[in-house]
Amino acid sequence: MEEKKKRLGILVTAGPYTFQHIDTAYFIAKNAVEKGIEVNIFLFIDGVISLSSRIKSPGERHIPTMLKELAEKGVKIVGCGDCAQFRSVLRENLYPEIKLAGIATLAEMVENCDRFITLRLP
Amino acid sequence: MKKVVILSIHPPYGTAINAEAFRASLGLAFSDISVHLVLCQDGVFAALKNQDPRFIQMKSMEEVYKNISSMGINLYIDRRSMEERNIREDEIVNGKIIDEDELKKLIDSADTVLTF
Repeated sequence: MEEKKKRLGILVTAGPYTFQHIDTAYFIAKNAVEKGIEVNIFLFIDGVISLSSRIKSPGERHIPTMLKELAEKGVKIVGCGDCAQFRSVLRENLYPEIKLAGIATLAEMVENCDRFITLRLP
Repeated sequence: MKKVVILSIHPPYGTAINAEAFRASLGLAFSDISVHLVLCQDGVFAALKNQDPRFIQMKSMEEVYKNISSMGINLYIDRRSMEERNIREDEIVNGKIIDEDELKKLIDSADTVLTF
C-alpha cells in the first residue's frame, strides 16, 4: 500500500524584502516538495504583500515569481483575503495559481498538516 | 479535534499583531478546532481593564477579551509576564492565569502551536 504523503504547513506573517521569512519559507517548501512532502503555505498580515505580481525588485530576487514557481511544483499557497484588502493586494495582480481566502482555509491547513510552523513578524 | 495553542506576545496597540492573533483564534475556533490562546510577554497588556484607545482611533481589545469564552476560545494569561509588568490579578479582565509549568504542559499537550 502506498504510504500517505506527509503534510507540512507554513504560516508567514512577515512582509517581503524587510524580513527574510518568506525566503526561508520558500527554501523549506522547495526542499520539502522535492522530498515528496505536501506543502501548504498561508500568508497572513504583511505576508500577503509577497503575492503581488506587480512588485518590482530591480537587481534583486523577485519573490512573487519564486512563490509562483512553488505553486507550479504543487505547493498550495493561499493569502488572507482581508489582509490583502487592507494592503491593496488585488486579486487581479496575483498569479492564477495563488488564491486569497479566509481564516477557515488556515484552519483547514492546521487541521490537515502533520507539522505546522510559524515564521512570524518579530 | 485538534488542539491548537496560540501564543500572542505583542501589545494590543502599536501593531495589528495582537488583534490578528485574536482573529486567527476566532477563525480556528469556528472551524471546530480546540483553541487555547495565551497572552504572554507584552500580550498581557491586551487583557487589562479600563482600556480607552479612542484617541488613537483604535478599537478596545478589552471588549474582545472580556467576551472571548463565549466565542469558544480558552484564554490564558502568563503569570510571569504579568509580574514582570507589575500587573495585578484584579487588573485583568478575564482568562485563567497560568504559571510556567502549566504553560509548558499546555504547549506540550498541543497538536500545533502558532506564535504571533
